[in-house]
Amino acid sequence: MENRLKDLRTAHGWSQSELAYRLGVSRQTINAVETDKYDPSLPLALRMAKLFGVAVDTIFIDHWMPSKGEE
Amino acid sequence: MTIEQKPVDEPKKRNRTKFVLQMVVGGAIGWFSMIALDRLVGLDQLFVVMSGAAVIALTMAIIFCLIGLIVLAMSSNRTIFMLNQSNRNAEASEFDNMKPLLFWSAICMMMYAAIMAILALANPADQGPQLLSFWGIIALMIGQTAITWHLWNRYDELYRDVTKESCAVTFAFVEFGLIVWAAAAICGLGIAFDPLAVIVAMTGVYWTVAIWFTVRRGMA
Repeated sequence: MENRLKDLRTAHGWSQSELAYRLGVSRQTINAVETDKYDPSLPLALRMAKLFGVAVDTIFIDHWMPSKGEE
Repeated sequence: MTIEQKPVDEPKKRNRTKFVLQMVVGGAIGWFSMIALDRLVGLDQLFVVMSGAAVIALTMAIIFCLIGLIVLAMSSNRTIFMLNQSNRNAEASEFDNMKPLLFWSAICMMMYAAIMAILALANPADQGPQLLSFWGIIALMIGQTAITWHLWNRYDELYRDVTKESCAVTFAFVEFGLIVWAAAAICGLGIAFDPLAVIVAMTGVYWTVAIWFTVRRGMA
């Protein structure tokens, strides 16, 4: 899933290791999320949103749209 | 907030090329190693003394032992740890955190190597050493399970996901393969269902799948 984690992290001046430490995960996890190789669990996505003070859908971008019948 | 479109295709293509290149180089090294081994020992001679499955099990044992030694070296020295491309941005604190994980992974890998070597070299005709081999394998399996449990508790969600994905896909392949293989043996198609061959096939599938998922998640 496309995301803006790297932009938010660099805006805060944090390294991948620093962000990983703050979130209680490994740096590999942060790297995998930033390079779109891994979609984090919902608890981790919520923790990221809380840490950056933004909504989850500001970090993660899903292009799916409901069809007219589902609206 | 505006969202920039990322040019994701180029790095993905580069990673795929790198992966294929690594596979080709690995295959070539393996091929030439086998030729060298044939010249040195004579593979025909080896196959007379051991079954095909035993030779593969012994080869796996050597590979696992080498991987174990590499991981052990990575756990003991930060410079070696950073040689791995995925660790090139690692900070000192990360190395300290990874050290015990790498150390116990290396021990686990070497235990696996020992199990495969014992299975390959144990001779059913020698009753005494056979019993010792059996209890040796039981002890190694208990140790390996304890280490795996310890590692699982220290893993974060990415490591756990890779482990779960690898196990699930391996089970799907192994279940299908083993049932067809067993059916062929039971239905009298003249195919042997050798326990060591089953273990070799299962281990081979697991490591192939695990490497695939590790690379896919950008951890290698």
